[in-house]
Order: sequence, then C-alpha cells, then structure tokens
Amino acid sequence: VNIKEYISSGVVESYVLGLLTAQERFEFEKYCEAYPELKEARTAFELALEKQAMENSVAPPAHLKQKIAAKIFDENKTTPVIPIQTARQGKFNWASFVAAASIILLVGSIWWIMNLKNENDKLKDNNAALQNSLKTSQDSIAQIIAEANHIQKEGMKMVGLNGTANSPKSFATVYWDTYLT
Amino acid sequence: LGILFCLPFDQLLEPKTKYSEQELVVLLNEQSNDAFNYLYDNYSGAIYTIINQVVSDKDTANDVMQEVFVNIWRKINTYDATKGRLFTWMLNIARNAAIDKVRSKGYRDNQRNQPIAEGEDKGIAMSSNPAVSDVGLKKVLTTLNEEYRKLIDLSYFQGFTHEEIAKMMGIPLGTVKTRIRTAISQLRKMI
Repeated sequence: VNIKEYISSGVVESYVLGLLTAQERFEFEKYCEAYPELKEARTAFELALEKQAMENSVAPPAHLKQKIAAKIFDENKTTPVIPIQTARQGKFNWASFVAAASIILLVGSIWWIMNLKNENDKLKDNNAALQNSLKTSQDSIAQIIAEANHIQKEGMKMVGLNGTANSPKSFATVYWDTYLT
Repeated sequence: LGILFCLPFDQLLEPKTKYSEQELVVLLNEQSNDAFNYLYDNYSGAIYTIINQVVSDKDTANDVMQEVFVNIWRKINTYDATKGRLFTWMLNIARNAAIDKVRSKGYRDNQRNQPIAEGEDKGIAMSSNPAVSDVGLKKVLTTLNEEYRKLIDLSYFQGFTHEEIAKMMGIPLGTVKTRIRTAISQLRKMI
C-alpha cells in the first residue's frame, strides 16, 4: 500500500470520526502498527478535532452535573446493596430449603422406622412360631426317650405272640416288666 | 476517623493541575470523585455539543448526556489507548449514543408530534438543533459545499451507512464513499 496516498485518502479522518466499516477499521489499525507516519497523522487529526471541539463547545445546563454524579455514585453505592439483597434472598431460600429438606427427611425417617417395626414384628412372630415348634419337637423327643428308657429297663422282657387260628397273620409284641410280678 | 479527616482535606487540596490523558485514564479506572469532577469539568461541554448536533430536543439531549457519562464511567476499562485518544473514544461514545437515541422508536414517535424541521429536501431531513448548529463540527460543515455537507450530515450526524445513503440519494455506493472521503479530507484542512 502507498501509505502517503492512503493517509491523504480521508481514511484517517474517517477512522477518527468512526465512519469506517469494521473491515476498514481493522485494516487501518493494522497499518497503524506498521507505519508510524499513519499513526502520527491519526494523532494529529485527533488533536485538531479535540481542539476544535473544545473551543467550540456549549456548556450543558448547570443542574446536569449533580444529576449525573448522583446517578454514577448512587449506582456505585447501590452496587454492593444488590449482592446483599440477593444474599438475603439466598439465605431465605436456603432456610426454606433446609425446612423442606427436614420435613422430607422426617417423613422419610418415619416411613423407614415403620418399615423396620413391621419387619421386626414379623421376625418376632416367626421367632415365636419357631420356638413353639421347637418345644413340641423337644417334648416329642423327650417322650420317645422316656419310652425307650422304659423298654430297655432291666427286667423288661420282650415276648412275641404269634396269631391264633382265628387270625393266623396277627402278631403282637408284649413288653413284660418281670420286676413288677 | 482518619478517613473522615482525610476526605475534606483532600478536597481542600484538590489539585488544579491538568492531567494528561494517561493520568486521567488511571484516575478514571480508580472511579474516584475527583476523576468524575475532572472528567465532567473538562469534557462535558464538548460532549454536550456533539450530542446536541445529533439530538434536537433539549430534554432528550440531557438524557443522552447522562447515558454517555455513565457509559464512559463504566466502560473506561475497555478503552484501548493504542487505537486512539481518550477524547476520540468519548466523542464516539457520545455520537453513537445520540444516534441510537434518535433512531429509537420512542424518540421517533415523540418527534412525530413536533413541527417539521427546516432543511427538508427530497424527504431527507438535516439533523439540526438551531441553537447549536453553528458550533463545533457543524460550524465547520457550513463551509463545505451543499453536496458534501449533506453527505457528512447523513453519515456522521445521523449515522447512516454508506449503503443507506447511496439508496436514499440515488447515487452509486462507490460515489458515496469517494465523496465522503473527499468531504472529510476537506474538513481536515478546515479544522
């Protein structure tokens, strides 16, 4: 690029006044880095524009400064207030969250306890039934042992009785306590 | 207590020095009271003038003024000194804010109830506020010929793109571009 031609093309002024497209602006900024004279031309126009603008300025109404300052500094002041408000809201939400969680936890616990109790009752019933059947079995065994002891007692005689003519197939075993006779 | 004593003391000693732009940028980034005072006292006139060259209604101009200072205050950390001077940056914020306001629906609806502005030609109104049209850049504009003056007015003060201007005035885009460049080059010599 012929930088002299470029500088005198009006691109410098267009750039400063904000009249270039994004593409042209990008290009201009790139050339500014490469060509110090372009940057000088830019600064020169900026200074001239600034001087012209300063010399020909009209003062705004006096009340405006106070209003703008209030707007700017009130905003700065309210900025820390906003997090506090949200923090408050956050705390409030947190508290209700905890409350809701507690209730859910409580209901859950009760349900869990009821389940455990049911299960426990069932186990108790089962246990009682088992105890019962165990006792019955033990009683039966005790009875069997008692009978066996009785049969094996000294003096006890076992006599096999064959069937009679009336009932030849009949058979009886007789235990006879010889000590008692 | 230290702070209580320091504040008024600081203000008593308020330096009347002229800050360089770099110093002012640093000061603005600190967001201090002094920074605002200096900024406003030194630049409000120039900024108010550019706003009034775009916006014709006083109350609206005051609103835009407030908007512009709030924007400068908030966006100072985005200002890049390698791309131009602080003043240029502020001037463009002001011009853009004013153009945005004029193009906003609320403003246009409001203006519809106002008497038709002077300087209408082929349906293209010149942006003008009689009270301030003869100061600042507008004053320089009056020295240009009518053709160039209109082009600068449409692009700079009314924010129309070159394409829009080409359509409005019924001339080719390339011609619009070269004429605006020429007009602007002439402006430079006058400034």
